Amino acid sequence: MRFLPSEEQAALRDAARAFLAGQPGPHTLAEQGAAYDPAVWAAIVEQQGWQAIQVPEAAGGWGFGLVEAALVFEEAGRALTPSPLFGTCALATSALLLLGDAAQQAAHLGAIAAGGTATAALDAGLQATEVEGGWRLDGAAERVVDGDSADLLVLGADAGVFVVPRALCAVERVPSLDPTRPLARVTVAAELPADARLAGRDVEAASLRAAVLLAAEQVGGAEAMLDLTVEHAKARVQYGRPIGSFQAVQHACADMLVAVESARSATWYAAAAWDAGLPDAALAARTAKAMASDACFRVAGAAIQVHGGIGFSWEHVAHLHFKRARAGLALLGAPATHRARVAAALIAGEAPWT
Amino acid sequence: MDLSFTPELERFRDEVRTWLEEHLVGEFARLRGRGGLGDMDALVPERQAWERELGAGRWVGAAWPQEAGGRGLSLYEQVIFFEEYARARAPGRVGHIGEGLLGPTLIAYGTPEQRARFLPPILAGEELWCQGYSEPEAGSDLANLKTRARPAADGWRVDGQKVWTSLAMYSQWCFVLARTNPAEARHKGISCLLVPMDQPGVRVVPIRQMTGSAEFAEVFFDDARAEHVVGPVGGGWGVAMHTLAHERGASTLGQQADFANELRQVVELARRTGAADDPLVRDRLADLWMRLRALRLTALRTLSAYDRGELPREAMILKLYWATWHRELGELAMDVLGEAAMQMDDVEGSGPHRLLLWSRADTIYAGTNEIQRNLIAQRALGLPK
Repeated sequence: MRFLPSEEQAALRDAARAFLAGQPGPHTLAEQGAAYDPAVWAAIVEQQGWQAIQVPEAAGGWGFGLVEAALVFEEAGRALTPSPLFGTCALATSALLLLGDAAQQAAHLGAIAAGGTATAALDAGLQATEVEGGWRLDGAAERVVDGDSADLLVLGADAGVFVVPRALCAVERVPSLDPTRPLARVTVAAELPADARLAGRDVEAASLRAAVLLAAEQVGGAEAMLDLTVEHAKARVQYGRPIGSFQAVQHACADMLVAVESARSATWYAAAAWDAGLPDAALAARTAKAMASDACFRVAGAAIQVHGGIGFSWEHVAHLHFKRARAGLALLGAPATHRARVAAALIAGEAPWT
Repeated sequence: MDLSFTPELERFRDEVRTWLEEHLVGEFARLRGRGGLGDMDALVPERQAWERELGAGRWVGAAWPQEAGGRGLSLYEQVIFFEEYARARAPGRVGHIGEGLLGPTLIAYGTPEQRARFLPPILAGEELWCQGYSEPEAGSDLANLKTRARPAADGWRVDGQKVWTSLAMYSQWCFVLARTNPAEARHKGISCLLVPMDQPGVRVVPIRQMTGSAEFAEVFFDDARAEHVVGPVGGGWGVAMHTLAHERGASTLGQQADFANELRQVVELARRTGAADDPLVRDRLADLWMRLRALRLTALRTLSAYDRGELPREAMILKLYWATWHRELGELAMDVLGEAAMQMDDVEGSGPHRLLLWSRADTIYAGTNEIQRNLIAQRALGLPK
């Protein structure tokens, strides 16, 4: 029993934090409306190798688990650096790991490990028709995260989940509440080879696996906001004293810490339970997503409040975290949706008690 | 991260489970589920017999070092013991104040003579202790205490009043914080004295609480005799802080298992009453289940950090977190009852009404939620006083 990152895992996290601290912040790109800075992604791929962490060794990756990936995503959420990391390593990688057969993993995860970008929209609801030698895929996927930057799109349809190269899609950016996380409308009207359809069917598991990484990102974002808020409360003087000496402010900050640390416990457990194949891994993923989404949004809101006027300004990073937090609530299942599923298990006597 | 217990720890779990199964029988069987919060005054003589049974099995003071008569259990073994104890629904302890608070304090600050006199009867379940800290004018602000002790030919004489003293009417001894130097203020000039309860100078008046039961008492000292001071005379504040660290630390680690039993009963109740079909109730049941998981996991994280010799900041959120959680469980239990909530139940142990009423104390004792938030802000986050 040791419910803490190992030395190697902590080193990976520390390296990620140090690396991201040296990258350009989210503001510049959000202003320009660019999806991300290709130089940042190139540095991630070449210097850090995050795209390869979860890819099996057989497909050219490192073969690490969700725990290692979650620790990196915590740091990504803290820094808010725009990059195709979430689409590629959370959404597409989870889908390919859970739904792809060996050949599909070798091809597509291999491309990701080599630095290719991807994303997934498993609930896209496209129409698939079987045709001579393969499939015909039609329809439009709305609000595809990182869709504009993806070389490869993993899209859900009525007859399964399909891997579609960017060249066969019409991709159009749509306005995103969260300027650091671009969205796109992806239209497909194309014929695909038979092996474009992924072998697996458990779309829910693929989505829950990605949700654990989103939860980790939200824990990191919430902690970043807490840290900035505490710093501000120590430095900002009103009525002749730092505002952090007022109990009303102290209590707001204390509640932020409670939210951050309890969400972190739930998220680390979800990642570790997934890697260990524990029977409650799915419930743990739902718990992590619900708690981290709520925590992140609450903490980002409280951060704006404690910062006062400056927290409402465009220059301050708080609004970017707030928008990321609110958009993230709705991504991969809202907290209430996950709680409804957990409640069903609880009432059916299927939820564990220890 | 490694979420499994070693085979040695799993063997220890089997040992605890087997012992409890073999001993919670006969006269003790009816104590299962009794004596918890809100029920602490139930069946006290029977529970003291159980305390002696535990002592005979060397399960009292099992966390104490071996040279003090304990088993020197590791933190993980302590958690396993607490979890199995709760899982067996073994009765609420009457000796927990001696075991968890006074014993560790004597081990840290007592003289060899004091340890030889007082530790063995705690381990045997023969002597029960109560804690004389809070006073009418000294609740959260403990340093405002007024009780005084003056030197006398045969030791010390104590005058003053304590309040909210758990199990005072059943205890043989009380460890009392009193001012031994009236010239000094606040944290200085306070000493920790060991006062025998069976003497003319000590009067115990039970306090009937909003639950209707009386687990607590006022204790009046009028020229009461005391021989022993723990730690240096005038050094009682340091002794008290050491005791409170125990109160807020290891002794709460096993309580999630009790909470799980209670939440499970509320889920059962919701199934019976049909409230389980209400989406709003379902949402809150799931929310409480998730937060209970997070509570246990955060406790495990702090344990792993203690094991590495660290004092992690997340340890400081636990009291606020569980107290708030428990209060919400009490509120939900009543909503699950629906209109029947108006009718007071007489369910023993953890019925919805007991949960509702008792959990109002959780956010007050051992540091109110407000004090906890102050501590988190100042000590975990470093905000200025």
